[in-house]
Amino acid sequence: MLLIECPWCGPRAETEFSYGGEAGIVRPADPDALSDAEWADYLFFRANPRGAHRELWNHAAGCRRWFGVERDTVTYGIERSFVLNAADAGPDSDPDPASGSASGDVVQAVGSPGLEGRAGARTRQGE
Amino acid sequence: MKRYSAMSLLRNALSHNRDWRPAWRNPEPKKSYDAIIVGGGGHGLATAYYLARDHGIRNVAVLEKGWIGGGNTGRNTTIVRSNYLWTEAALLYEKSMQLWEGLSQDLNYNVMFSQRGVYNLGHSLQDMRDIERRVNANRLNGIDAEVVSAAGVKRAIPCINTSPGARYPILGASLQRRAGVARHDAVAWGFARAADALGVDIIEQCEVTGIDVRGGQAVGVETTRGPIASNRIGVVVAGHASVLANMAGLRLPIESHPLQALVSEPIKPVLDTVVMSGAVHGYISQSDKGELVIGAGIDAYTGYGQRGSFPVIEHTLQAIIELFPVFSRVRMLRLWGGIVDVCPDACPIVSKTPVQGLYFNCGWGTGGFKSTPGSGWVFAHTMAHDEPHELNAPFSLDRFATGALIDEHGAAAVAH
Amino acid sequence: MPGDNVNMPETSERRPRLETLVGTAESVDDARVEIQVLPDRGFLNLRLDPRHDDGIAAAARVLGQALPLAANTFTTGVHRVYWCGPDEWLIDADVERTASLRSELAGALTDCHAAINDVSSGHAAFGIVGNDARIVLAKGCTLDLDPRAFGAGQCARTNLARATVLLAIADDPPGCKIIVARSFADYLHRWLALAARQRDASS
Repeated sequence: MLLIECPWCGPRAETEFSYGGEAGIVRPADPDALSDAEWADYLFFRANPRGAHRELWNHAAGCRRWFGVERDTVTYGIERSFVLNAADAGPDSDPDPASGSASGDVVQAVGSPGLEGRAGARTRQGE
Repeated sequence: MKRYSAMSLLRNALSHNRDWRPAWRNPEPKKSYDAIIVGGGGHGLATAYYLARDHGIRNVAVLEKGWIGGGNTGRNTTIVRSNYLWTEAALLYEKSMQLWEGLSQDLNYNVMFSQRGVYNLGHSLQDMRDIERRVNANRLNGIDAEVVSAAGVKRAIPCINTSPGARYPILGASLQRRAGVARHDAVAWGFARAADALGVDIIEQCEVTGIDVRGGQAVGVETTRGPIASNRIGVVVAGHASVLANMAGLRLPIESHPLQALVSEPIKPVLDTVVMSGAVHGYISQSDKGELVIGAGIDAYTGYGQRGSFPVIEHTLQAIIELFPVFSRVRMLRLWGGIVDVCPDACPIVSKTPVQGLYFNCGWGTGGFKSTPGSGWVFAHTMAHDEPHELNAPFSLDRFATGALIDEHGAAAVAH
Repeated sequence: MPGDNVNMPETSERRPRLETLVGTAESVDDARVEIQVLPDRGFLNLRLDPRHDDGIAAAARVLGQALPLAANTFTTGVHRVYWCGPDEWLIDADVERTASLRSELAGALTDCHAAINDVSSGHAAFGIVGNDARIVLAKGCTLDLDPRAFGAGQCARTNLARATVLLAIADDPPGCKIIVARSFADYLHRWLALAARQRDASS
C-alpha cells in the first residue's frame, strides 16, 4: 500500500487515488503536422524508467485534483508530491486554478490561501 | 545430454543417485557468439533452443542477470490457453499450444503439461455475448472452444457459486478443453537443459549493462562479466524491456507493472480445472500439490519492484471467495509479484528494431507463460532470418505508427 | 450560469428502508457507539476559484459565515460549510432555507467563474457518536483517525467501506457526521451497524 501525499489533503492511502501515468506528456499543438512515428511516440511510447519517475495521480476519493508525484519505481518510495504547472499540463490546457501562478514544480506557500496546497515543498522519504 | 527415462531412473537408483549430473553446464562466457539472447527466462531459453534445433545456430549465449527460473518464469500462475479473439493473436498462441502438446517429448523433460481445461466465466449478458463471439472466432481459426451454460459450469465445478443472487452471478463460460497448466520451473529447466545439450551457453549471474551499436548495427553487449561480441542480439527481458531498449537508444510503447499471485496451503483435490474471470480480475486453479494458485489483478502504477499493493490482492480474494465460498477459510501461504511489460493493445512485440541485428521480444503483459514455446519459436525464426515469421509479422514495433493494432484487451486475462 | 438548476428531482421513494429510520439511533454496548440516521438536510455544492477574493467575500456575506480556505476544515454558523477541494465546498443548510440560499449565492456570484448546485436529494447523512466511534470508522477507513490528526473542526472526503464519504468531526455535540451519496446510504448504514457490533475495542 502506497501512502501518497496529496498536495492539498496530505497523506492518504493509495486506494483514494487513481493513477494517471507518466507526467509531462503534452498533447502536440498541431497533430496534423506530425509524422505517424511522432504521433505514435506521443500516443503510445513511454519512458518507463527503472528508478525515479514523474507521474500523475488523481485524488479521486478526496479533493479530485490531479497532481504530480515523484516516485521510485523500484523501491516505490515517494520522493515528493507537486502541484502541476503549465509545462506539465500543456500549452492549450486550462490551467489548474489551484496551481496559481507558480513557475516551478512545487508551489511555494504564497498568494491566496487555499491555492497552493498544504505546504508547498512537502517531501517525504521512501516507504 | 544423458536422456531421462525409466531406465535411467532405475540405473541411478542402483548407484544410490550419486551419478546424476547438473542439467546444464556453467560455462564461462566466450569473447563472441553467433547470437546472444539477453534474458534467461522461459522465452529466452526457448529462443536459444529453437535457434539451435531448427536453424543450426548453436554458438549461442543466453545471458541471465539472476538465475534460471528466478524471474517471471517462476512468478506466474502457469495457465496455458490459446482462445484469443483476433486471428493474429489466436494463431500465435495456437502455435504455442501445439508446441506445448509435444513439449515434454521434445525436451525429454516432463513439463507436467496438464490439459485440464480453462473456463472463462461470463457474469453479464455482455460478457456472454463477448464469449459467444470469441468462441466463434476461435472455431473459425481451428481452435477448440465451446460455450458452457451456467448449469454446465456447475456440473463441471461443483464448488462454484452459481446462485442467481451471487455478487458475481455466473451466466455461463467459455471453455477450451485443450487448455490447462504446466509446471513453470520444469519449463525453464527443460528448455535450459535441452538448449545446453545443443551447445548453447547458459550464463547465469551475468547482467547486461550496455548494448554496443556501431553505425546502426548491434555488435555486442557490455556485461558484469565483461564485453561479449555478437552481430545478432535478441532481447527477451519482459518487465525490463524498456531498460534494455534505452541502452540501444530506443523507446518502447511499454509500461512495466507489478502483477501479483498467491498460493494457499495444500488442500485435498477440489478443483480439477482452471477458472478465470476477467470481470473480477481473478483466476484460480489447484496445483498437483493441492495448493490453490490464485492470480490477481495488475497494479495501476508502474513498478519494477516484483511486488504490488495489498488492496489488489484483497480485491481479488474478495471476488474468489464470492465465486467459491468454500475457500473462505483457506489460508494463504505465499505471495509474489512479477514485472509485466504491458503494451497498449495487450499484444506482444516480437520484432526487428531500427538497430540492425537487434531484436526485441516483449510486451507479453499477463500472457507470457502460455506463449513460452511459441514465442521462442517465432523469435528464433526472426533472429535467424532477419525477417519475422508470418505468425509474428503482425506483432512488429511498426504497428504503433501504422495503426495496425491488435486489440486483445477482451481476451487477455487481466485488464491492462 | 453553469450547473444552475433549481428543479432537482425528489428521490425519497428510492430509499424506503432508510426513510423509516430517519431520526432513529442504534446504540451498541451502553452507547459506546451510537449510529444515528440524521434528518434530511439541504446540501449545496459550490465551485468557485479561490483566487477570486470578491467572490469569496460575496459568498461569505450571503452565508453569514466564512468559506473555509484551509484544507479539510469546516466552518460552523447558521450553516456548516465543508472544504471539499481547493475550489469546492459543500454547504449543509436547513432544508427550508436551501432553495433561497442557492438563489442568493447564484445572484451574488454572477460575475465570478462559479457554479452553485442544489445536491440535497443526492445526499444522506449519518451521525456516529460514542467513545468507540473512531474504532468503528477505522474498520473501513484508511484515514488517520487519531484525534491529534483528525479532530474537531476537521473534515475529509475519503472512503468508508469503499463508499466515497465526507467525514466531519464536531465537538458540539461530539461525534462524527458522515455525508454519503444517497445511493450508497442504505448499504453504508448496514455496514456501520455491522461494524459497530463487530468492532474490536482493543484495536
